[in-house]
Amino acid sequence: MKTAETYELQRDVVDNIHRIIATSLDIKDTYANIAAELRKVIDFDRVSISLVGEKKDTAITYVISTTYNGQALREGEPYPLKKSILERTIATGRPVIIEDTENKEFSTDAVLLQEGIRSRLSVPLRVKGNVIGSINLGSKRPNNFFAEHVHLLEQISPQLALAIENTILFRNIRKSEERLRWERDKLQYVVDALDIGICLMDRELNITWANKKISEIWNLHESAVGMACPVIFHCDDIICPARKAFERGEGRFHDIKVLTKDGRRRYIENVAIPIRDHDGDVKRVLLLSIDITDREKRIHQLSLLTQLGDALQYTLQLDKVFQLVLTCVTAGHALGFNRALLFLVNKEQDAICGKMAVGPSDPDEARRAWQEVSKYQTLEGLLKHVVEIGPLDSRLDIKTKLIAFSTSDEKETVVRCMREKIPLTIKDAHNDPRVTAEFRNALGLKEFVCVPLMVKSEVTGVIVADNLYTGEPITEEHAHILSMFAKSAALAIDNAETYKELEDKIRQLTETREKLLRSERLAAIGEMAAYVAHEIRNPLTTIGGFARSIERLGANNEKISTSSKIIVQEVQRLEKILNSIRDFSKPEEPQKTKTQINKLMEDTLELTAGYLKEIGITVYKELGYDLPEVLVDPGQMKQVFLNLVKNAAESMPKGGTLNVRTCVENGSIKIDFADTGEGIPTEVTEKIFMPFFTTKSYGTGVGLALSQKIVDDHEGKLSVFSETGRGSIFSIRLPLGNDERGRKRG
Amino acid sequence: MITILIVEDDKNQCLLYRHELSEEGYSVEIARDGKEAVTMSKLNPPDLIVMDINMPGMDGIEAMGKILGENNKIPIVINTAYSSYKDNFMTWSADAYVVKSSDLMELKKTIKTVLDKKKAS
Repeated sequence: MKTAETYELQRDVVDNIHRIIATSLDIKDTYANIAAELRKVIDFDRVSISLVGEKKDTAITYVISTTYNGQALREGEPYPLKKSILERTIATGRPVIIEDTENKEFSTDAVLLQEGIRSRLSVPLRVKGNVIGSINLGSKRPNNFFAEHVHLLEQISPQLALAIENTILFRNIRKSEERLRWERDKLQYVVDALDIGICLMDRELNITWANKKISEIWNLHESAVGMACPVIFHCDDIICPARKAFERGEGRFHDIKVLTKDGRRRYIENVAIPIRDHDGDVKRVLLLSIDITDREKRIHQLSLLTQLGDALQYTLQLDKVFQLVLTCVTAGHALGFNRALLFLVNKEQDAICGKMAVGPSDPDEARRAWQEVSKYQTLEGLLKHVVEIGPLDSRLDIKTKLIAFSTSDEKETVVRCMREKIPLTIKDAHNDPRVTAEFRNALGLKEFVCVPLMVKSEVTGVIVADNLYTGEPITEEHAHILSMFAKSAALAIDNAETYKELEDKIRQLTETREKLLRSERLAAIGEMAAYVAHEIRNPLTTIGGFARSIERLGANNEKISTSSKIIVQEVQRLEKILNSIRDFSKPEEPQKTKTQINKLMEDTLELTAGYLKEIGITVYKELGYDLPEVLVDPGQMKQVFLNLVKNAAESMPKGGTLNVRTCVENGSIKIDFADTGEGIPTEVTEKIFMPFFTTKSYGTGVGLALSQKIVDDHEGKLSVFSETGRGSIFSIRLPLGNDERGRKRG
Repeated sequence: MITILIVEDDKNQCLLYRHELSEEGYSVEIARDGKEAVTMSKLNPPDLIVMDINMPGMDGIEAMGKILGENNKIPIVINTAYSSYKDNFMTWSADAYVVKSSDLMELKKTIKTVLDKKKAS
């Protein structure tokens, strides 16, 4: 019988339970309180809550009061929904009462029977019309539950269901959060472990997220987040891959940057990838910075020989080849040594001599050189630059050129390398018996490598290389590549040397040929000139002779006398020309005697002093005081000097300065005649030594040709250097006799 | 009167020499080639011969050899357009060597010197 008191109690219990549920966040924590409240109004031995599992065909039960024995059915573990009491509750949406578990209507009845539970009550827990589970009571007595219990439980079940649903949702959120945090951490681990710089940037090219590696690659002292992309990558607008990625919206955009880090060049590839959000807009770009130095290094190593080969194709000059070879050893990543020195074997002197060195002479120069070199992105560009600027006269280079060893001096590293024909790597120059103190100190060597240059199993030279300024250890790989490279370099040097020899021979041949041609031409011209001269001279003699007679006879007729005088003068001029042609066509063999050139010069200047003064020409003399006597034909040589002085004077009709100089230079006497005249245009200088070429209305064009012929006959050389408007310098070089040279040296 | 034999193949030159040397007071004979000169100097030996070298037929050097072979007393002055014959030792037997020039002063001076020398010996 339901009394008012019972009713009151039931209402209190429902209120309490509602309060408990409302104040708790996780319903599970308050199950015990709920059970205690229920026990005030219902007699039961067990209360539990069953929920539909995450997998819809399972159920999970949470026991609030007495527990299972934990064998057949574990709390909190899923069990099959099928044939359970919950299945029925869900199916019908109605409460289920089991009067006696001995009937074993449900799969769980047997389990509960073992624990002494005889009767059961299950009330569905509904959220928005869906049954999410049930609240269940159990009693050791059969037939213990009635409709009033159902009624009571139905009063609390909606709120309980909601609280449970909230708890589940809350848990799910927590779980998601945890999973999310894990995913984020996982990503961070991966991103940090990667050897690639990664960052995200927004449309303003500001970096919103970045890993540590990116700071490391780009030498940043702090995180890249918050920085603007151009500040870090120094790219201009046109090539900026991030900008491209924003503009195009898809694809990958690459750019390679070169930067110097710890004195080494690094190649960094930037890859920008646009990222679309759900709306399909590109609001971010992912940028990867990859250090591709090692890859570039390999490529460089492979292409080094090819590039050197290419570079050598456009130069056969020995010096350039040396420089290219040494530049290859020091430039870029393939070899990248700080310094490289070249020694070549001189077979005639049985010596191995320093030829050239490339590299800085001190740390200051090293810094400047690296800055300079970093301007060139490719080895090709650098090599081209090297060819253009020519050799640098560095202190290192000069020092190297002063080094020479006898090829029998085996205690020298370079000689040892040459004789043993194998690369030598010296780790510690100070304590290695293979290095002499002299060699070590001359170049400040610490750790270095020596490789032989071989052509057809013969050593032609040695390359020495080291990393004095960076102190980078010389690895076996470095030494190996250097030896490989040395093979090509040796061939290139050998080629260039052969070429140089050939070139020298060709130059000699050309000179001889030109001289031969000149004398042949002179001979032919001479022959013809002699013939013409004779044929003209006879009638000329007659004409002139009679003109003189007429001049005498018509002395009192002014007209006749003037006219015949003109004939006489003109004939005289023609005869003068014929005389010079005669000289030219039949120059005599030089009668050489020991002559002091300075004396000849003084004589010449004395002879011409009056003439020069008349035109207003000042003469400056600079006569070498130590000029030895030479074997020349004084008469012929004086004729040459006279010719050249006359020539100079004629180029300065309004006066000027004539500088004459004599000196000893490179085993010959050099005699210069420098005027301040009009100069000779280039196209004319080529012809002035040709017989009968003249630019003067009064000249015969024989003077310079004859002068050259005479100088040629003296084994000398007559040349001209001229600058239009500034003047010309005619230079004679006369070889000192062998005895003279011997005397000088001795 | 002093006779001078001019050996010269050029007609106009002969005229000039005759004209100029006559004016100097010499008697001038003309031979047009070497052969004629040899004949003439044999028939009527002149006091001096002015000999050209390049002539058709017998040249001056050959003629000089023949003339001097017959009579080595006649002085000979070689008068040629070439200076190169100075190298030919045959010309060394001549008393003088004058390169032709429209100015006959040198030739006249040489003739006088040679004649003076002859007179003195």
